[in-house]
Amino acid sequence: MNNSFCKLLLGFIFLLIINSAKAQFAMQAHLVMPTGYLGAVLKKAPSISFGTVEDFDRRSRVRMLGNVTYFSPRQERFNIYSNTSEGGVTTIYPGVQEINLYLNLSFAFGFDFCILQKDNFNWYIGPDLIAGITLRQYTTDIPYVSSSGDFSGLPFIGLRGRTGIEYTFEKMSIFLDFNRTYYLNTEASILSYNDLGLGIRF
Amino acid sequence: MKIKLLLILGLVIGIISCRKAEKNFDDYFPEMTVTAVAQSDGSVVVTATITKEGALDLESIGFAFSENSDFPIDENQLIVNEIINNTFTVTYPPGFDITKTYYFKAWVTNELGYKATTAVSLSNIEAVPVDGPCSNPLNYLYVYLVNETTGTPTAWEETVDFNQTFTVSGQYSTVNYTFDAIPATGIYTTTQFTPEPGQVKISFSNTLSGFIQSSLNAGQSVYVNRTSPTTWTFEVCSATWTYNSFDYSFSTFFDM
Repeated sequence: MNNSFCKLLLGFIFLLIINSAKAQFAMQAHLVMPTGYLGAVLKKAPSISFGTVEDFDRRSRVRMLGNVTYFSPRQERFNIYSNTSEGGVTTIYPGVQEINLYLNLSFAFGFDFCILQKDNFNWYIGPDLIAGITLRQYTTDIPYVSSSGDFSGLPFIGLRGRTGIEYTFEKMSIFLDFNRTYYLNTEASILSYNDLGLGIRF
Repeated sequence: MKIKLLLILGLVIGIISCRKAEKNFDDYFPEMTVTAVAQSDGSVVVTATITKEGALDLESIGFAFSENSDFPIDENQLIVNEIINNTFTVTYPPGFDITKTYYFKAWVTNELGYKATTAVSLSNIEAVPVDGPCSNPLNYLYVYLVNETTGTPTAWEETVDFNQTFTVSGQYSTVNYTFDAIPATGIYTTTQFTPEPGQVKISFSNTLSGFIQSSLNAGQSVYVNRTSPTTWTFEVCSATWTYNSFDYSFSTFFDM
């Protein structure tokens, strides 16, 4: 099911990109700052986006960007636990967990609405709809309780809000976005991060 | 225009509601210190003090101890239920070996996992002995005209179920000591009902001069010394028991 989802996602991205006639190619480097639970477990991460971002027509535009974010865990080993209750007596069993891979692949489709437009400068805000998959691999060892490893792909969908500024030169533009992203994965976890992205389109 | 306002509002709410990651992973857990103090009855009171709150709510708190300095939190684990004034505490019952060193630590859990304090050590955990105001010889039992000692007349037997009941039997008498738990060193008070902490029920049967079953009157002192995790002495100095409206004397001193 995860493979099918990946193929569909990639196909959708490809179609959107090549059908976007007015768009300029764009790429953007991000610094992703996980927040909430994600921020407790994962470090700030580099991220890169490729796709298309249109010029502003009638003070709005469409953007479609595929993104790869590689997260690293904040600890080599996390001290985790499992509690069991037997005969009314609860015991906390200690264990360790190692996260070996946490990679987000996603595609975002959204709009920018210009708030301020002056000469070659634009200030805009916009929402994105995101779909993607988290590739995750970890091992868990709780003596007397369980020992396991898992590699899985967790599909997710999410929403992103953004504000950004852009300066246009003759044939290219540079833009800086601040994004706030929430996403829901198939483990029913709502995760979030902020990111700062510096991009170029040409 | 409305769309832009909504977007700005949504973005602001999203940013305000975001919980930034703590600078250090340890900041999600409280900072704690732990102390362990031996008590006069041979128990150990372990106390943890939270010196700095963690960023996340705690789910469970507790203690553990071991004879090794490096040990997991499920060894001799006790979970406690409340934190009062940033402090939580537990009393480990007597039973420590005076010749050994023990290590104690406190631990907490939250949604990210657990954190334990460094272990503190405690050696020479010994209860202060208690002595009764009499000097009966060891292995001596006096119940209703019967004066029995080891080997005199013949039968003398001691048993313990390693829970809370101790039995000593002479030729004519069998005496049961029942506590609410494994007894520690200290002075216990007799009761004629199910014993509560600090109480002991001493019931006996006597077959000389007819078959008598009774128990000591309430409120009398029993001197208990736990000399090692599996050995005790018990002393009773002229306690009374009432049978058919007459008061009789009961004395004993034995070890097991």
